[in-house]
Amino acid sequence: MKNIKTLIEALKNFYNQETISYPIGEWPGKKYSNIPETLRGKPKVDEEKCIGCEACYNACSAFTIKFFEEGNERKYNIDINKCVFCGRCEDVCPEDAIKLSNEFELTYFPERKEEKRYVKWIKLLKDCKNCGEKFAAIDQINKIHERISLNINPKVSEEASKDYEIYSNYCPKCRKILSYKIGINPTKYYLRLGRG
Amino acid sequence: MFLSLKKKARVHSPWIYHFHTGGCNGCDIETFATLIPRFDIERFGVKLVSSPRHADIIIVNGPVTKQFVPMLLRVYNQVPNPKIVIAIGSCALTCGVFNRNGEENYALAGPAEKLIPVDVCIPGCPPKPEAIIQGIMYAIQKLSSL
Repeated sequence: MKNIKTLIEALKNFYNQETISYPIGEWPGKKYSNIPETLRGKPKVDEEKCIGCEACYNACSAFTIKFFEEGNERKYNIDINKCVFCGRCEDVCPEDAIKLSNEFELTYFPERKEEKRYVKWIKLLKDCKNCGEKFAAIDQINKIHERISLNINPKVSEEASKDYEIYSNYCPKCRKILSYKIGINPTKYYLRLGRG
Repeated sequence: MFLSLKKKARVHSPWIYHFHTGGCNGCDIETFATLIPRFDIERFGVKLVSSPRHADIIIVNGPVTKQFVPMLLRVYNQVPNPKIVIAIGSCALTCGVFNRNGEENYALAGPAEKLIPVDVCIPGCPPKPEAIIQGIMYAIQKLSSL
């Protein structure tokens, strides 16, 4: 019985190839059709979509996403050598700016490290009017303005947007002082949405 | 004449010594997956050997633990010249998840890059068998240029 089974399998495999012909044409193979859709490869970033909210930095399980601030720029970089391709950054990103592509051919010679190893992008920061500290990315502040405007009572939306523009020029510390001095209370404009 | 024959033999049939230095064996299993009929690197003449004295290429994977440093250096020195080192996986390159913000684990001596000169890097955790095949192709390219 066993021999018959193996014979049947041998006959089945007589006409189709078991081996995947990976390096097609000139190696290393450029076009390869057997990539599964769910494959997680090299992370890629849309600089325009990114708002610089640091969510990916906080979620990264292997501590590969890092940033450092120079002047009014915040420079992000991902070290592919250290990446684990877990996809947490993709799950967490509110704008779908970072995505894991289907690229799995990441091999390189160490001489070409600078081109191949890092994924880099840059975000501009806003500085506080009062104390001059950099506190958040400009795109993030604008995005918060858009999000908040959905929850505002339409009767007072103009006043609220004016107040927010004043508000968004100050860092969190100076904001408290400002609201105490001038008496701006932004929370009075929002509808209660059952969040206590 | 004799030297060119030697070089031809080396390029058409590189022998590999596979060396594991700690970690989780994930990259290990992927490298053995490249040897089975589905991915079949033996069609390029590649062969696993059980002694570093016969090898042209060493494959290193895993973060190098402190206990393993002398063995790694001994094996590296036993391989005859010209030799090529392939580092597979993020652990061999930067210690991967065992290293946080540059502070390395107390049990680790560091990535393989620190201790021996690496010629080909294959990032991934673990890399696909196809990616490993591509890395071996790069290594063969380098062998032919030596």
